[in-house]
Amino acid sequence: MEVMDKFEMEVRRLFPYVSFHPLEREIYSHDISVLPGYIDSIAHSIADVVIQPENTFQVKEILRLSKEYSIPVIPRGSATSGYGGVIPYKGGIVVDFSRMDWFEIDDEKKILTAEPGAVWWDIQKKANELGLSLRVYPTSAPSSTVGGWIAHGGIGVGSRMFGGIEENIEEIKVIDFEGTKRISGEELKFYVGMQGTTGLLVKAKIPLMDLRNEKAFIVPVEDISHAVNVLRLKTLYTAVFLSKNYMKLLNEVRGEDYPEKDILLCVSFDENMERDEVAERLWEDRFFPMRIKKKGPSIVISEVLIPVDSLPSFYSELMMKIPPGAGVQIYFSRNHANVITMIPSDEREKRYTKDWKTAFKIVKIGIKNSGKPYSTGLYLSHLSKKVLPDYMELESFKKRVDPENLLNPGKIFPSGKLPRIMKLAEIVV
Amino acid sequence: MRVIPTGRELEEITEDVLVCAYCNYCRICPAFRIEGWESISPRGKLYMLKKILSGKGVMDSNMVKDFFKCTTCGFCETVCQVNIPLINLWEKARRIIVDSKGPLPSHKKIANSIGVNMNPYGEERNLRDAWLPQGLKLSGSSTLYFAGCTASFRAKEIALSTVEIFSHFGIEFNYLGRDEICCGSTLLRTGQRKFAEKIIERNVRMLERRGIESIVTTCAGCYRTFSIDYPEICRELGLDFDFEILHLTQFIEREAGRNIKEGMRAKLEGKATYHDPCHLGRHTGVYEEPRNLIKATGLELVEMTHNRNESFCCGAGGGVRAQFRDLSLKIGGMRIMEAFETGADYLVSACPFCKMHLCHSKRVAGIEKPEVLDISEIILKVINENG
Ligand SMILES: Cc1cc2nc3c(=O)[nH]c(=O)nc-3n(C[C@H](O)[C@H](O)[C@H](O)COP(=O)(O)OP(=O)(O)OC[C@H]3O[C@@H](n4cnc5c(N)ncnc54)[C@H](O)[C@@H]3O)c2cc1C
Ligand code: SF4
Ligand code: SF4
Repeated sequence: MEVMDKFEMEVRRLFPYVSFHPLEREIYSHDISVLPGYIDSIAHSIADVVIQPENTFQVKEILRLSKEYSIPVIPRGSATSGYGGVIPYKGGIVVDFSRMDWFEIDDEKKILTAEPGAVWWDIQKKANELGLSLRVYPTSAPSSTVGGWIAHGGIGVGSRMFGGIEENIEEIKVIDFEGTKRISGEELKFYVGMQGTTGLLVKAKIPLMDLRNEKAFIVPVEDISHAVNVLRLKTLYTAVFLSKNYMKLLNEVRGEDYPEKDILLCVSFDENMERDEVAERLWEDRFFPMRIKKKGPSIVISEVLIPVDSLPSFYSELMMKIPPGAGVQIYFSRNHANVITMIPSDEREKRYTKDWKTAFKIVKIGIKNSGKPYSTGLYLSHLSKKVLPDYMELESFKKRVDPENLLNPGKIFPSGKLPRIMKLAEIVV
Repeated sequence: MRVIPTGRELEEITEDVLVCAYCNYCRICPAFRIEGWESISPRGKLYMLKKILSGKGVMDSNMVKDFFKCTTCGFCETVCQVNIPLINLWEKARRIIVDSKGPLPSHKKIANSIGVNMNPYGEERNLRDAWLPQGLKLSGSSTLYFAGCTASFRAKEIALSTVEIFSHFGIEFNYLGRDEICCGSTLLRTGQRKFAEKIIERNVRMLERRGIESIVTTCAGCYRTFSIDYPEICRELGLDFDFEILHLTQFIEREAGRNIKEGMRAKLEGKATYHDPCHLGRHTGVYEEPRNLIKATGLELVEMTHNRNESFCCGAGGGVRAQFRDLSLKIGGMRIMEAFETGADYLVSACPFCKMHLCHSKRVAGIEKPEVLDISEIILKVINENG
């Protein structure tokens, strides 16, 4: 019997939810990104199998098979990330955590305990019923998962007040080839934002806050420096800068009549704030940052995480580089800003490659201004060494827990042809 | 099998397919919630379509089946990040698949039955009006009661209640009797457009011949088909379509709503929850009239978690009940559980197909309460209470 036949037999015997169907495997081999043809041909690969585990026992079995057959394991939440994190770059077992979506809220201790597949907004609805609320969540909350956001890392709603997801975790439970581990404190850095390259997250404990009234209001700003100054003066739960052009695009695709100027959308818990109808509409629409894709039909996105102090200089350079049709959204955390540039484009046309080049240029400008790409994932793994402060430590940790590089290979830690090509592309850019 | 559309159809669906942001907000899809595999989710289907349209994917028979595991309920459309008109897209894609590969077996059977007996149930055509009470006086009114196939053959109590309500309020109405034929909804929903067009043409000519001006339906599917599909298809076929289309709930609210609200001495007691039929709610925006009527009967209206625009499908539509009975009953079971959780005595709907399927799902789920009734039956109940 061929090795792969034996593997298939064993997988079918062990797991009730499995698919070897070619198109299903294809469907589970993408994220939200659409790469230009040439890069796609190198980055794109198809899962050998998709497994939907129901419990930690099955997750351990997946890792046992991975080791026995030297087959990579690619964890997958809702696949709403866009850096290739869920792409089975070297084939392998896509582990879809959607069936591990149990969660529980201890309303006395104000702690959430969740399996990785639990969806943020399902949690938030339950928490709200108990008079509690998540402190932070991504704007993809209607579908993105606890495991996915922790493994991806990042900032979102609430980050101005509470920081990124990494600052809002009490403990996680991880499974790797050595067994099950409980992780908290300093050690979290080996897992949060590491895209499952060091272990599979199977549980998380996350502190909640009391549910409070959110008041959304708009501060019209003259420019980005003005926005940064306004932020220094206010205690805000959330702060988002929306560029004039982003507002224009929203009006075009939504038929809205938003003011077409740079604005700072602020959300605070201050009961004395006046109700602002436009701000409330924009706030309600926070889950739809990609609405402007309608303008495309494609969109090229570049995200740069930059210290707030460096934002004005980066932003003015950015404005000179981006095409006139592009819109910018900036999400603020305590000390950083995530600058999201969205370029409406069309993947069927030549300009699509050009727009991707622009996106790379923006990342370069960001790095020059003490920033870094929001994530390196698969597509920008060649930059990890440069932009991750603890890279050497992370790399030696990875080698220790995953010597065969089976845990989501190619992500964060460069591997194979793609990083070389991307490095070349970067030089050309 | 390669399914690659060409020309206008290709253009029409390509834009919608490309614009998907893959955000997965459409994970709320009832069929996906039951099956759990993305080939059934809206996002997965769009990804699959993209591959196929670009010539990089091949749709095998498994995938064709997965594609039809969709009740066309439209829930996905309400959450879509980029406002893709998904109901339309699913139907267009189905048409393309059917044109090149033929319908699924059960859908073909439905079409054969319509071809022979003008109803999808394989029932004899000359029994279509068997539900009609003997001695009931019909008029040559320009207002037609279009009973539809399900109320004529499977949920006759709805047709009966309707004509009794009309009689009670002295409303004159016309009825086509054995000349009534299927409205074509099932054919359209299952991608069998060409055949549907023939049915539609025949119906329109008949309605004109009979001097009909207003069509009243008790079936949400007929209502959607007459009010959305007929005008569009008639335009394409170069036919005039100038009829007022009303669902029974709209008609009664207009003609006798006040009478029910104020003219009844006795009121009904208990709690009712209302299931928005997808074709009446999300597809055509009728949400309040049925609720107003329920309240007018004296029943306390309690809402399920999913209601109005965010209502949850009964599981029967889009040819799912016919082809994937198990899936449809599981979706129906979820809806029944939601109704049960409200503590309501009655689960009221406004569509014979929903009623039939919800009753079936309730039997399968083994749950006693609530009693599933159509809105026409509730109205008749209060009329009867008043003697
Ligand atoms: C509309 C929209 C809005 C967004 N808004 C935000 C935002 O506000 N802030 C933000 O940071 N991002 C945002 N994103 C990006 C993305 O949604 C987030 O990173 C999200 O939290 C990812 O969650 P997911 O469940 O989709 O994870 P996936 O995309 O499935 O996975 C993300 C990474 O985590 C790994 N992974 C998944 N599950 C596990 C696990 N159990 N164990 C180990 N590794 C795992 C995957 O391999 C992958 O590398 C947005 C995306 C969209 C489409
Ligand atoms: S129409 Fe309903 S069943 Fe069909 S894909 Fe959308 S949500 Fe699912
Ligand atoms: S919600 Fe709309 S944009 Fe998002 S994945 Fe579903 S179909 Fe695509």
